[in-house]
Parts: sequence; C-alpha cells; structure tokens
Amino acid sequence: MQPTDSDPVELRLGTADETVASRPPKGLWRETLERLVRKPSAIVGLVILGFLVLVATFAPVIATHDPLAVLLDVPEEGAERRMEPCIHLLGCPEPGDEILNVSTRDPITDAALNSTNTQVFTTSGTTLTVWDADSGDALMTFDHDDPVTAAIWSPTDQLIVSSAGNQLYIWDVNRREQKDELPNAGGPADNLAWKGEAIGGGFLSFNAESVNTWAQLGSDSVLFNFLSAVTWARTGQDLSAEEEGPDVTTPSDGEENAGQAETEPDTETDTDADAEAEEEAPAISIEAQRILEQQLTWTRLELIEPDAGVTSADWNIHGQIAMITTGSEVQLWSRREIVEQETTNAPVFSGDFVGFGEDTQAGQQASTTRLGMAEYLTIPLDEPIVSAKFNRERTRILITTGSTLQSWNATEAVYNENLLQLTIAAPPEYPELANGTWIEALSRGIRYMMASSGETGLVWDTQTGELLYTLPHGEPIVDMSTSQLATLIFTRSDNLIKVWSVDDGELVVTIETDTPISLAKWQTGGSSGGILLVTENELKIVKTSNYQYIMGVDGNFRDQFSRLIYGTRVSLMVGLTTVSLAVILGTIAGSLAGFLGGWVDNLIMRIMDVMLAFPSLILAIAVVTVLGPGLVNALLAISIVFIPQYARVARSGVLSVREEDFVMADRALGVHPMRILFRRVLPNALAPLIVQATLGIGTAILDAAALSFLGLGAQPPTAEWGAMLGQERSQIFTAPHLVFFPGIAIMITVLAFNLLGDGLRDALDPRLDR
Amino acid sequence: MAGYVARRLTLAIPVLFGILFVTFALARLLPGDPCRSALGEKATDEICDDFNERKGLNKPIHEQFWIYLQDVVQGDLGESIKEGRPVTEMLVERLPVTLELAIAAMTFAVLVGIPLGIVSAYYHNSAADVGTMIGANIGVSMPVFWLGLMLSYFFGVSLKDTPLWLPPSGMPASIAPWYEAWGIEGSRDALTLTGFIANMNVLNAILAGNTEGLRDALRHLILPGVAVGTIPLSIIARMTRSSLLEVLGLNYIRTARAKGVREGSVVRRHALRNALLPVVTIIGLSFGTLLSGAILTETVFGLSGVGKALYDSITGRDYTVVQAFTLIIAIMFVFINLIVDALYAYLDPRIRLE
Repeated sequence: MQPTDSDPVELRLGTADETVASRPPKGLWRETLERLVRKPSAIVGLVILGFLVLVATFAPVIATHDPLAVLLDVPEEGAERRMEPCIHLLGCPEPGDEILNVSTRDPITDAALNSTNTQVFTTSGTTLTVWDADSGDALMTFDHDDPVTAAIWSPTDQLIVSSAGNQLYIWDVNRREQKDELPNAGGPADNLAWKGEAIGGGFLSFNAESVNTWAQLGSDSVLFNFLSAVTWARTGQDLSAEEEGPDVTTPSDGEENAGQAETEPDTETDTDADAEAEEEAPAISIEAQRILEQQLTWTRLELIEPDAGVTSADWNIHGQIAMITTGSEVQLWSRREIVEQETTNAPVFSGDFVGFGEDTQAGQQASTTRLGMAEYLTIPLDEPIVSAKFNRERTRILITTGSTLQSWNATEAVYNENLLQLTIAAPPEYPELANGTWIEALSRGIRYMMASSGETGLVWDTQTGELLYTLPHGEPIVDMSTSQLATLIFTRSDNLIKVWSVDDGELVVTIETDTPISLAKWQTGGSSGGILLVTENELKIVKTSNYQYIMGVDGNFRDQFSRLIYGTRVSLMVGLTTVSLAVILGTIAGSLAGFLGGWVDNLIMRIMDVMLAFPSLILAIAVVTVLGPGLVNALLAISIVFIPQYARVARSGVLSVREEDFVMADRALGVHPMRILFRRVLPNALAPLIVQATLGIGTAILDAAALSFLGLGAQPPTAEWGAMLGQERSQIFTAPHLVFFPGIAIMITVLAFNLLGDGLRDALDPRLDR
Repeated sequence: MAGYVARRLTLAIPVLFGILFVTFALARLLPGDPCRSALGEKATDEICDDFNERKGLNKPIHEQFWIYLQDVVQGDLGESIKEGRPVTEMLVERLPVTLELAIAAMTFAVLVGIPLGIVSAYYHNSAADVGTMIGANIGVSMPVFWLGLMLSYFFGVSLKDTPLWLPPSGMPASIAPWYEAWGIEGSRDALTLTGFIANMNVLNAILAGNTEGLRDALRHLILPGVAVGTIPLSIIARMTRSSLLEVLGLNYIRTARAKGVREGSVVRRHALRNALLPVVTIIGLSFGTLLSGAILTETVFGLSGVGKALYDSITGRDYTVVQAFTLIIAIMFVFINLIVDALYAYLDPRIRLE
C-alpha cells in the first residue's frame, strides 16, 4: 500500500506537504470505497449493519411493547404463548381459524381446558378423554359404567372429577388412574363446581333437586401430620440418606402444635397446609405427599335439598360459603362444625401414624362435632331468579331477575345485612334479562357487568349503572361470557358466536357453525386467544384474537420481540464504545511506542505482551470481578483487554511510515514530533487500524454477550441479548425460541461486522485482491 | 533448535512475571477487605490482624508481591472461600474433563477445518469455496454458549427417538476405572495419576477396554466438542484456505506443475507442507478461544470441568478461585504458545536461523 496523505483539506501550499513525492491519483478513501463496493460480502455486511442501525434508532416504533414491562395483565394472548410463538412469516392462524379440532364417537356432553391450556377433556358417552390441546392427540381415556354427564378439572389440573350415573369419579391425571369413587346422593349430578384449594379442598355437585358438597378431609391431626411431614422433609433431608426411605414420624414438639391445630378453624388449617405444600413443593418428599393423600379422604360435607329446584350452585374462593340459587332465593351456606349427639359419619383419622397415641382424643372430639354446612343467609327476591354469579374473587354476587340486575355483597354478608349494592332495572326496550355476568379481569378486578336481552347483549358500568353499549347479536342469545382478561365478550346463539371488544363493543369476529353449538368456553389461563366450542360430537378451539407476541414471552412475562429490538441498541452501543475506547487508548500507546522507540517502546510493548498472554475473555472476567458486575464495567473490561491488539497494529503502522520521505522532510523542517505523529504518521497508519477495529467490534459484542451470559455484564432487567440468553438457558428444552432468537441476533450482528471488516481489509490491501 | 527454544524461554520469563504481577494486582484491587472476604464479615479486628500478619498483608506492597511469587512457585494459589480447600486441588481435580473436551474440540476442528480449507482453496471461487467461507464466517460469529444450547436442543430433543440422538447434557455413566483392568493399585481421586487418567472418561474407557463405556463417553463428548470446536474450525479453515491460495500462486508450484508432477502430489507434497505452517500457529493461538469456549460450554452441558468450576466461582463470588484460574490459564496459554513456536521452528528452519 502506498503511503498517502489522507486529508487533502489540510494541504497548504508552501509547507512540507508539497514535497510528498508519490501521491496516488485518487484519494485513499475514495479508492477504498470503490474497492469496498465491489466486495459482495462487504455489501452484505453494510446492508445488515444499516438495517441494525435503523432497528436500533427506531426501536420504540418497531417494538410492540415496553421491553421491561411485565405483561401479566396485557389483554392479549398470555402466558401459554411462551411455549410456542407463532412466527408470522410461517403463517399464523387468523381469527376464526380452528386451532384444534377433535371428534368423538358419541355427542360431547362436557368439555374443558385445564388452567394452562395444554390439555382439554371431553366427555362423550361413557368415556372421558383427555386430549393434548396443541396436537389434538388423545392422551388418556377414563371409562365409566354410565354416561358421563359432567366433569371438571381441579384447580391445579392434577385431578378430574366426573359424574356418571349416581357416582362421582375422581381421576388422577398424572398417574392416569382412578383415585376415588363417591356416591352422589339425590340422583345423578349434572353440574360440578370446584373450590379454590387443592389439598383439603373440595367441590360440589348438583342437579335440579339437590346439592352435594364434598371436601377432602382428614381429622385435624392428619393435616397436622402433613405439616410435620413437610417440616421433617425440609429439615431432615440428611436423615433420609441414612435411613432407608423416608418414614413420617411425629416430631418432639408435636403436642403443642397439635393443640394449636385443633383449636384453629378447619379451613385455616387447610389453607396453611396447602400454602405449605405449594411453597415448599421441592422440599417435601413425594413420599410425604403420598402419605398425606392416603390419609385424606373425600367426604360429603352436606347434602342440601332445597324446597325449590336448584338453578345454580357455586363455592366462594375459600370453600367456606356455597351459593345455591333456587327459585327466587339465593341461599348462602357456610362450612362450620355441627354438633351432633349421635355417632356421626365424620371423617376419622385412621390412626396408624407411629407415636401419635394422643390422636384418639381428637377422634373422640370429632365424634361429637362434625364438619358440615349450614345455611346462614337467604337473599329472597320478589321475582324468580334467572341466574346468580359470584365474581372471580367471590366477593360479590350478581343476580339476574327478568327485570333487574342486582349486585350483592358477599364478603360483608357474614357481618351485616346491608348487602344490596346496586340494582339496575332493565331498559324498557330490552326486557327479559338473562345471563347476567361480571366483566372482570384477572388482576384489575370488575370492569363492567353485562346481561343479554333477547337478541341483544347489554353492558353496564358497575359504579353508576349507566348502560354503556349494546351488542347486536341478531339471534336469540343463549350464553355470553368474557375472556379471562376481560378484553373480549362472546355472545352465543344456536349456530352463531360473535366476539366483541369489551373496550368499545366493536364486533371482532363472527364464528358460524353448521351444527348447533352445545357448549362454548373461553380459553383459560389469562388467555383470550381462543374459544373452545362443542358441536354435537366435535370439539373445536377457534382463534379469536389476532394479536400475539411474535417471539413469545420470556420467563418474566416480558415481550421477547421488544426486548430483542431494544437489545440491538445495547449491542451496537457495546461494540462501538468498547472498540472506540480500545482503539483510542491502543493507538496512543502503540504510536508512542513506535514513534519514540527506545525504552518507551520496550516498556509499552512488554505490557501489551503480558495482556496478550491472557485469553481475552478470561482477562475480561478477571477484570470484571475486580470492577464488579455490570454493563459499564463489562465494557471497560473488554476495552482494556482489547487495547494490546490495537497498540500492536498502530505501532507497526507507525514504524512503517516513520521512515518515509515526507516524515523525514517534516523532521528536517523542525516540525514538532507530536505534530508529525498526529498529522503525518497516524493518518497514514490508519487503514489497518480501521480493519482491525471493524473486526474487533464483532469480537467485542461476542465477549460482552458472554460476560452477560455469565452474569457479569448487563444486569436484569436490561434487554441485552447475552443476558436474555443466560436467563432463559434453563428453558432450552421447554421454550427453545427464547434462546434461539437472541443468539441469532448476536450472530447476525457479529457476522455483519466481520463481513464488513473482511471487505475493508481486502479493499485496503490490494495484494489480496486477486 | 535448542538454542532457539532457549531464547524463546528467556523471552517468556518477563511475560510470565508480568502475568503474575497482573493477577497479583487484580487480587489486591478486589473490592472489600481481603481478610473479611476470606473469613467472613463477622471476623473481629484481632482475628483480622492475625490473618493479615500470617498472609503478610500488612507488609509493604513489594514484599507482598515477593510472598505471592514464592507462594505461586510452590504451587500455593490460595484457598477457595466457598470450599475452603486449596485452589490447586480444585483445578487439578477438574482438569481431566476440560483436557478431554479441549482435545476433542481441537481434533474436530483440525480434522474438519484443514480439509475444508484445502478444498476451498483448490476449488477457488467454486460453490464449495463460497459455501465453506460463508459457513466459516457464520462459525466465528456465533456465541459458543448459544451454539451449545442449540446443539443440545437439536440432538437431545428434536432428534429424540432417532438413532442420531445424543445426550443433551451431563456426564457419561461412571464405569470401572482402568487400573482395575490392568491390575494396578489406584484411586478415583483425580489428584493421583491413576485417578487423573480415570477421570478422563474416554481414555479410561479405552484403557479399560470397555466398548460400551467408550461409546457412552464419546456420545457425551460429541456435542460439547463440536460446540467448542466450531470457532477454531472456522478459523483454521479460513487460514488454510488463504495460506494455500497464496502458496498455490507461487513460482515453485508452477515449476512443479511444469515438470509434470501429478496434481495430487503438487498439492499434498509441495503446496500443503508450506501452506500448513501458518495454520500451526493459528492452531496454537486457538487454544485461548478453546479455553474461553470451555468455560461457556461446560456450564451449558453440565460438565464438571475447569470452566464449570470457574463459572461456579464467578456466580458464587469466590474471587480467589477466579484469580487463580486466570493465572493458571494464562500460564498455560504462554506455554502452549511456546510449544507452538518451537514446533514452528522445527517445521520451518528459516525461523530458527533468524
């Protein structure tokens, strides 16, 4: 390469520059650029880089979400999309498309998705089938003696309760086997409702005549023993190594705790045990859980047979209160201890725990009182009740009569009689209200309330009672429901479902079927992405929402795509700043060494040799441990580590130019050495530095990503690709896309800089340009 | 030749000294009181005074450096704060796994990289050349840890139930140590020579003659080896290509061809021998990449090697271990470069005559 003066503007006639002997006809930069554009790889690199710069600049416009915002409450497809994002390029289901279609031999009587939308069951004929909600594969079937009338998932998706004939069946989904069979009093149950908790929890089954309430109970001592087992499993894990197999024994302080547990109300203990179970799940030995499950038995709390026919029944969230709607009454039953003189069928702990002799006492106590349900409040209305519904928190009850919608307080009910909060009379043009429902979001609570009147859906404000908008369905509405995040409403008539936006009542999508729809439900688990609907012997999930997270949602419920977009900024910034800093420092050190020579040269270059003796990432790690983790410190560390290579390049450049004629001329003219260095020598030694720097940016980005991956670079919640990879790396087998996209982004960026660097090198070094 | 090696060795001494100084400085610059970070926050002043006295931390800095040098020369690199044992022991224990991984990666890189480079240079500008160079460019642009994760997902999950399935992570099942088959007294402890060899799973299986164990060990080594080896592979392929291209353009090759030497012979005996010289240097320099790669890859694949230990000490804020490992890796790096230099001089007489 010919030495040239790079900066023609600086040319002043009458100075030493005139004496430059050989100047190429074109400017170096123009020539380089011309060579560069002939390199296809450099063009690709430049195009990618341009694209990345655009993305980084317009990140707020491109990103669909705040990269740091947690999306738990965002009214779009929720958590389950973490598993499988739909990439738009590959074609995604549009609203109205079926995303699942399974059919059974017999007509489907009941169907429901589990809480994570991963499995769906159908009941048809005498069988209950569980399907994979993504692939539509049948996972398991449970056979009954009689046709199945209803079924329900337990809140934790571990159990399915089904009702067939006069029996209730409890199925274990994990072990794929029947766990229990319970006789339902008062004829076959055609409806089931579960209460909140799993262990010590329960459900109710009802038909038009009677309500059975069920609970998974042991005596208090059983629940206490479970707690002991939990404690034992947590503290005594070393013991299990010595003793073969864990064996539940009562700890020494059992007495005190047992007393405590007995004095406390049963439900409290339930909740505690449950909370313990969930919090400490990894620590409890499976054995202890199994033992507990054996000790708990499903027991009928109460058989309730109201005078009038039962129209609906539900639990409140803690399972203490059951709401039963009969004729023109809403009855609230609470769970309490009922004192009875005769021997009861109360659950008695079987008593084969070692070292729990005191248990007999508890057993005697149980024989005089039993846990049951008693009616404590009746809300009588003037008209027959069409429907009554708890809100999700089960703090309020919405009662629909033909002419009014009434909101009742369910929490205060226990303490005072002032229950009625709001009454909305049906507007004259919309008589005969039905399907009164709350519109409530998972965490934002109740937004509105709605009901149907003939062919129209109506939505009211809960505070003022003002009619907000109407939903003109066009056919007699038989059912209406809101999605879990209260963003969409569907109204259903026999062959038609219309989906409306909650915000403004606009029609979103219309779903028509050939055969009558017998059942329709929203997807669960915070999702409003689809409606599960049943027509005769077919079960479908139809997509309703067009929106989705393009690259899924990360472990903290943040939009992966937006994070990736904002990550471009961080990575480009990292690459440019680290390399700029390293180039500046390295050039100063290297050019001083090369220009001054002698002991300065020796000292500087020996220091650089030492730094080069460390593999770059290892030295960067060592430096960051000193500086402390963090993005800025990682940048500094990488800059420091990169100094030697630029120093070397600068030095050799300076050395090659130092002896050129034009430098000699300057020296002879007595120009200050520093001026010679910065005005004459460095500009001419710049080309290899630029190549090295461009190639270095790629390495810097890779190293920064590696540091972040190791937890030494960008700290959460910064949207940095390496950190994103590091945080989600344990999800590689369940959510590979969370790892895939940041890695691809890093690769493309680094590749762009490498291609550009290679192109630049070839362009600046014509020897290689063969 | 010996003179050349001796010269290189003397040149390495100031560098080694500098490395020691850097790690010493880094250790002294660590945030926090060294006594309390070693003994815990609750250490009293008396205990700390005693500790400082014992470790020489109250002496002037040059004397401290001297003590440090003495310690290092005696193989005392300090104790791990978390595990309370000498760092040297931890390192030696973990070394077999990393050594095996590095060898596997390098074997893969060399065995695939050099042929790719040759093909690519010989069929210059052909589809094979362009493809190889695109692949090599992508190869050097990939984060190692990401490649590891993707490989373990692809071969461990996507290819499940196919014959191509490979274990996505973890160590091979432990088999009988080799010394039992040989009838030698031995121990599993990696600090002994027998144990050190026994902890290198592939070598152990070969020595013990356990084919099933060898298969298992190899299957566990393939994915990490490929992940770590990809960057060196790409570098080697590019280097081989450009070096061979340059040599193929030289006059003596033209002469050889003019003489009627067969084409295979021209490439293999005339061109390649000279072209591979710079490749040797690159292979040596790749060990740095390899070590960095091992740190990132061992954590991904759950291999309990040096890299995993380093990662654990980073996340556990066990800085003595980090510093000591940095030192050892740097020293290893210097010696590997020395060996490469010597090899280079052996291969190319022009170098040692300089």
